[in-house]
Amino acid sequence: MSFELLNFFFSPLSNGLIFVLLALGVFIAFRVLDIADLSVEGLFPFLTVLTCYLIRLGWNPLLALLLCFVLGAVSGALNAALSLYLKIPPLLSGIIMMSVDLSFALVFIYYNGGSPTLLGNYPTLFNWLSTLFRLAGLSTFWAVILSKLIVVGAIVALIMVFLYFFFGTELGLAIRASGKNKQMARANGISVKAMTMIGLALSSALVALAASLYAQANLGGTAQDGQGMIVIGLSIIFLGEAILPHHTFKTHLLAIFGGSFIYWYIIQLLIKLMDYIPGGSNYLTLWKAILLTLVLAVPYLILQIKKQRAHKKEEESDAPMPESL
Amino acid sequence: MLQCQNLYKTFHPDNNPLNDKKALQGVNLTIHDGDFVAVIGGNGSGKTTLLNCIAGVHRPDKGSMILDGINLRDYKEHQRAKWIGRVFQDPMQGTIADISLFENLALAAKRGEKPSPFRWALSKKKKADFLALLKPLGLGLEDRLDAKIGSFSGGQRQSVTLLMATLAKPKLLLLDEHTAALDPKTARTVMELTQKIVTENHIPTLMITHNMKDAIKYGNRLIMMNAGKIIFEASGEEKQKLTVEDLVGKFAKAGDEDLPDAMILG
Repeated sequence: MSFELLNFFFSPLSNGLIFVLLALGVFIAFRVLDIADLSVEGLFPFLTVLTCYLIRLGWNPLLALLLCFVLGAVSGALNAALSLYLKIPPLLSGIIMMSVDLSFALVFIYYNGGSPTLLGNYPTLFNWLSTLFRLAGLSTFWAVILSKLIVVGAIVALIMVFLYFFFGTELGLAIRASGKNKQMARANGISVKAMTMIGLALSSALVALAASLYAQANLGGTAQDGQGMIVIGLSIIFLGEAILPHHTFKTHLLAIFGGSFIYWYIIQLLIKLMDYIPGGSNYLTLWKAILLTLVLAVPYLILQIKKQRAHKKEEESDAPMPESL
Repeated sequence: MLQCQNLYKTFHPDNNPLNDKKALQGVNLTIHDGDFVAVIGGNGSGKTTLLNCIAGVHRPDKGSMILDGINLRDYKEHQRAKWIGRVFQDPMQGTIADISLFENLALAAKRGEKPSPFRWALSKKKKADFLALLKPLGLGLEDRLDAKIGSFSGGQRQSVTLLMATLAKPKLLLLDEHTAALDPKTARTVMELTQKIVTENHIPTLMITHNMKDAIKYGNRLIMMNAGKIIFEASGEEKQKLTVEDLVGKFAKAGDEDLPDAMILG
């Protein structure tokens, strides 16, 4: 197999895994809490830049990851507080937090001498494993890819197991109830404010993990890293839901997991196709928008067609009215 | 026992004093243990506002509400849920459509307790408990414990909400026209279930109804509201002897021309 073909099949895998975390974060805000949280677009670049900045300072990559997790939770809780206590509509509070987080990204780029924070040869979470693989005789290509997949895969597995069990506890069920029916939640003694706060903090913390891992996997962070993140997150959720079964909470989590890989293979395919069009890569964002529109519209259209067919069948099977009536 | 004294509530829809809506104008009401009180009144008579003030949806401008020695004004809506069970008019509001009957019941069984991250929401024991609770009702709900509530009929959803509101026994049950959205036959089934649950468990109950026959038939007390005040009250034998015509006559005397047809015809 040629290197190009190998790269085609393996490079979407690590992105696919990392973006499972982002999509799970967006899923908790958008599907569980019913809030379109736009702060993702600012939080993501803030934490890619911060991760790289801290590693360049000499921080342990794992410590940088954990700090990002905490900062993500704080950002999510602040976002919730803005809408719950100051009555700012959630869409706007998300935009406010996006701006706040984005400006932090710019501040750390300034501290870095004005250039994007690049990791180059600095150590990442994956270094120890890829070194081990190389010592075992693997080529650099395989050592790098496998170490990323194993480390990120372990973190994703941990998070998915945690989410599955967490949303099965009393607290998890109460958070789901707050998102689905606020009146019912209050009538059953659930503090919708507290649940929204916890839910958004968890959501942003997962986005933060994705950002820190993304920076370490791609060896750099820029202020532009957040662009289109919300579209990617939503596309993954809708793709998963359109293609995979998601009737229970467990299968819903798995649908998002699958959706992330499907998404990145489609993007990889689009990028390949762009090669054959002059200036094609400039259209990538447009293609992403078209993809999101399709995954939103196609299930709806299929449902409409099914309904129409069922309706027709009903009409045909109806016996003609007796004349005496 | 619930004691409401001198409750006042005015809504200011657009800060224009001309449009102020005086929903409650000095309501005094005591509900004793074992009381099942039916409340009737035309549109805008203040009956739903009264219920919402007790439940904590609205904050009355003036007046006190004491439930078994607890000053309700000190607690928010979700905190009052510990002592107050509620069923709404809209069958969609009392339950969550996207989760199973089992999960809905599990939430309600913990009404008013802090949800813990260290206890499972569902367990085999809970399932057995709920099955034992549902079976004698004869509604066929015991076979559908794992079905999503969204697939239930309006009557089933109201029955479930009623069960949920009383699963952890409340000090007060508030029913806000809980059969108004149902067809007559289903409404009767839900009313019978209400009667059964309320009397068997001795739960003090305040029920708003649009149906004067129900108001006469069910419960031991009847309250009539008009323009934010209680204008008539009957209990015991006096209440049983009332007819729909009596009630319509009293409304006419109070100048309430705004009676919905359903109140008279139902």
